[in-house]
Amino acid sequence: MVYKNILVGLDGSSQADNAFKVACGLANALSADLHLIWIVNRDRGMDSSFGVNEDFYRDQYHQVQDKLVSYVEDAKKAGLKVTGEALVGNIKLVLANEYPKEHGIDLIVLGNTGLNTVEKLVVGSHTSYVIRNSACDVLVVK
Amino acid sequence: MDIFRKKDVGEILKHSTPLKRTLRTWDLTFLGIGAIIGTGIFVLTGKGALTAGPAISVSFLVAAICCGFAGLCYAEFASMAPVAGSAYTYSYIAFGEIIAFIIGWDLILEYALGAATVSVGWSGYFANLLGNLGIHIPTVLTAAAGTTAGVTSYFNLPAFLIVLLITWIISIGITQTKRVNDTMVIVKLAVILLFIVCTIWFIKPHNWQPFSPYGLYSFHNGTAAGIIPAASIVFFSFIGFDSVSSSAEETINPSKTLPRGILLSLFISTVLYIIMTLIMTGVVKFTVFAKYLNAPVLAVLHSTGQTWLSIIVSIGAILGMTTVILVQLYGQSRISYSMSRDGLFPKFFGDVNMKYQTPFKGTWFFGIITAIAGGLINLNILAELVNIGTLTAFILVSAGVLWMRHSHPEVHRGFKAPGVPFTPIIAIIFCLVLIAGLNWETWIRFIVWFAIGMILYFGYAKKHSKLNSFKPQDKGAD
Repeated sequence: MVYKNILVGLDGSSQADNAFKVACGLANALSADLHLIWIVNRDRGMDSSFGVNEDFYRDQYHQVQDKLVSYVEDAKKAGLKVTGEALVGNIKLVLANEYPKEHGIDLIVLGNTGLNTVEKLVVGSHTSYVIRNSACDVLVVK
Repeated sequence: MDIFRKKDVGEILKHSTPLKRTLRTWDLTFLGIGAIIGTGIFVLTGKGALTAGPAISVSFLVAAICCGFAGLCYAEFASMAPVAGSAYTYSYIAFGEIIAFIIGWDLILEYALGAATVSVGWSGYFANLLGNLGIHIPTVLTAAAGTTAGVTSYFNLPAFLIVLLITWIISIGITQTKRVNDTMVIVKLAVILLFIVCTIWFIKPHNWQPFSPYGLYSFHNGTAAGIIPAASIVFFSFIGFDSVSSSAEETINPSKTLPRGILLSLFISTVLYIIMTLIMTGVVKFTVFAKYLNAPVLAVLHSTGQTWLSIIVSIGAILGMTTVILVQLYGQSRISYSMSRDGLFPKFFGDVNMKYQTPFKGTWFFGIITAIAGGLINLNILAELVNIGTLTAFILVSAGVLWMRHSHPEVHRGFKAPGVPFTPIIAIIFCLVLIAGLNWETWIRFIVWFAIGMILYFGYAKKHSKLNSFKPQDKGAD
């Protein structure tokens, strides 16, 4: 099977940047579409009185939109068909289910987790969640 | 420089992300019950019962009515802004900078001390749980000085430590998913229902006599007592109910669904609260709660001898309260972030850590202050300050709704509160009555807090506000 729609999850880390480079190479070789997403984590379990968290999410969203621009340009320079989208939502759910379903993604490329052992224990790595729960193939770039 | 200068709506509209309308009446009701139930009932019923006797059940009703009217006003207020944002940001657009600063300053009080209050309750149930396992924390380290008359205590160590632990968790970017939150709601409800079913048989009706020993409002041993003062305290048990109000944009047919959701969630939690407090004051004489101020539910279970149930209740209360502290501290760091971003607070609080994507420094700053407050200040003082801060915010919001209807009737409102002008006026009156029911020491403390805020505003915020940079062309534009 040849991958048609490749999704890359960005977060500004060097691991995610590596994943981006690998995905560009793959998309080029397979002439697949490249989808870049950068998600601002917003868990509904943290909602609180007087909506005090919303401003923070919105600011993060603006910043992420700006940061995405250079990635999209890089991919375009490489001659790829690329879309870049900033989203606000639960990172794990959006990456593993919502976005791939809506956009017909058949391969997800992610960077290895940037967390240390203690953080992995309490946060749980987003990458391992996606590997366990995604319906399509996942490539983890080390 | 105008202290009533406003933020431009266009600035905020630039990147609106429309939300899907998915919520129905029962979703809202569950959301509301989840936000309401869980801390006040486990923590403040002791103090409330001491203040009003068995009539504390009536106090819950008074507080619920206040919340109902205030909730409708807040729903209209929240639905005026075209995008999701905080009450602080809305008031910056609608009413001007100084009102926004006051609301933000109130919310900081609500969140920081709210988390401290809950941590004190957490500590009460935690100490009981350890006690059941045979581990005893030295009494001097289980409560702040002066919590229980005749018992020497200096510092609430468990409260201090839990706040620091949760601060660390939040600072590295851990959040709680909706599923965990929903599970917690069910755990809390289950614990309350189990408590009701297991203890209702131990009621001795003579404990209900006299039902209202201190009347509506009186003075007893130098502090305010009676139904109104108790309502002012147990108001804390409803804080969070307004999370329903900010859901107008996600609600199907909000003009009908939203009031139903607000009123239904208030109704159900009030009924549960009333049943629970009638049982509590029926099983033991209300004066017994003096010894169980931080963990009142345990007074009942020690009296009935149901140790197994006290273990279950303690675990449920600890789990429920842990998530409440988490949400409160998180909100605390975000409100100070918003104010810092607008230049009203120093940059320190708005500094977002690249790796964790959190306002790391602000989280620790307020986390440490909250931990110290939880360790050193006793429950009554903390809870009353939280209440006065929240009530003031509701007064400002309700007055704002009234004023906007008059001055800007044309503005789009996703939801219109029924019965304006009466609804906001009744909300304001109820909030004022509840403020009046608090102890005068609380008014003084709040005035001091407010004065510090004003010094900060005129001494720092006004000069550093980001709005200074667009001053000339925006002048006069409304």
